[in-house]
Amino acid sequence: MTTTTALQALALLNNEFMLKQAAHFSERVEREAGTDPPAQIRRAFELAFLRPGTDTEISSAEKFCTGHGLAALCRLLLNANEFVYID
Amino acid sequence: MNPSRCLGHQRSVNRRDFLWQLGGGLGGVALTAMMAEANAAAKNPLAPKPPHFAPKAKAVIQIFCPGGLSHIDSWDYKPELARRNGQPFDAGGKLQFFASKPGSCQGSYWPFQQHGQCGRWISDLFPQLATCVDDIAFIHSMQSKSALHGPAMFMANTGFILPGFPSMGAWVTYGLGSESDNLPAFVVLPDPRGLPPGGVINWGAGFLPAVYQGTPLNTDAGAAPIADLFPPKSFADALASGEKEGRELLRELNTQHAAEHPGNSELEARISAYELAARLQLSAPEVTDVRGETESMQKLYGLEHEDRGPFGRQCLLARRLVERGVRFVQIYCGAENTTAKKIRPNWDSHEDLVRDHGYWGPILDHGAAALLQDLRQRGLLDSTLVICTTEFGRQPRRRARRGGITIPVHSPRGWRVGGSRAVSPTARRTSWVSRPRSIRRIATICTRPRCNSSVSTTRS
Repeated sequence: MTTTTALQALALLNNEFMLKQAAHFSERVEREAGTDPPAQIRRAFELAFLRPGTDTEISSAEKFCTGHGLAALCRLLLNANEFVYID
Repeated sequence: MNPSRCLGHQRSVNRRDFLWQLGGGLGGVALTAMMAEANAAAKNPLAPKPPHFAPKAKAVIQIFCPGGLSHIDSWDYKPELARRNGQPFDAGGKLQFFASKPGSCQGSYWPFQQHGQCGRWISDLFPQLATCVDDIAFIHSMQSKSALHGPAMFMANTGFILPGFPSMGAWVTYGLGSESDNLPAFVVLPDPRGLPPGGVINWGAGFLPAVYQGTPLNTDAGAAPIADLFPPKSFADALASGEKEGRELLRELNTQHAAEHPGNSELEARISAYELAARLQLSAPEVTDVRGETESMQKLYGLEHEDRGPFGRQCLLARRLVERGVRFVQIYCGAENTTAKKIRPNWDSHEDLVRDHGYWGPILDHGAAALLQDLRQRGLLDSTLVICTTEFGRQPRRRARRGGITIPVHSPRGWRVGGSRAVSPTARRTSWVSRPRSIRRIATICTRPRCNSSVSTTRS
């Protein structure tokens, strides 16, 4: 999945399959990291990127999660370049 | 390079850092500088680029008629063939036939009249386009290398019968970039009945970066113009409040990631793709909503007509896209080549040419003539090149099995209008006996003495 078109961006952001996977992803994070939001976010970054999140990332993500929920964050992680491209 | 990545990990250095350190020193510094330069150039692959020569045309609208729009029944006047109507067809015994044995000669099913100041002969199948002939250049020398639909589509769109090559719109976008910030440079408007033979490869970027490929818009009135433009209803409410902040966070993550991976233009291109995607959420519904057009304009394109309406809407959308800075618009007049009980879904009129061309002719005639008239009124015809092409013509004969039915074969041909029109109104003519099935066969035909001295044979 390495194309760089706007249509691919829209498909990864909004297609029902991707949104369902994001929901499953967030359920797994809740199962494994409990109810503590910072712990959830740290686990989500580890699972998506195979590395711990930086302090800045955790802080921005926590702010986003507070307003819009963990599933919305998981959707963004699945859209991130770091997830899509294997370095 | 990125200490945070190493914390708590067994590996002390990642592959990229290792290679950098291995080749480090001044060479590494120089390489980094060069990569940064290359990266800056690649940051926006769609930035407009100046052409080598000042162009007259700023935009192209290509109308593609999948299947075989018969040259004999449209714009290639063949009085000699009309004279030989019903006589035995003899191509020298060297032609191979695809699905039938040759029957007798068959000229146009529609009479031809002269039109315009140029006195151009046009068949009665296209009465409205006939009023535009003084603006049109006809090119009769085009030919295909394949008698099959997929390869012939690729041939017409990319110049090669094999898939994997960039389409014309992709090349134009690659060479000139985009004039529009809110819409793609290369937009495709497929027939609402479905995709043409060969599907999406027809507007693919081939070996060029994918960012240059065509963006198809759904042309079905009432449907969303782009799939997945917004989340489905079941998710929409939950996600609505966070879309803006979400885009900002994603950009933050991606920008940081790109900074750690200098020299990878795809990362920047993908960040740009998300930004264009966000702008498309506003621009695509706007450009495809034709309700704001005046009543006379909707009437001109025949939007309310059951058969002509869908293609009329495609043509109107093409004008709206060009107005908004889109550089290359491809309209498909016809879908996949399948048999149908009533009418074939494209121009491939194998069973009944009079029936199928009789259906598609008025559709193309009305929409294309409306487009030319509209562009001219708005002064856009000076800067917009309009091209109409198809896959094949047809052979100048009927099938042997059943009278009155012809089989269309096989050379792309078309006309073009406006923009940088530089060729003479009729660039080349074909012989009365054209169109054979392959380039080799064309060569065979061309060695024969001409049957009508008033016309020249086709180029082989």
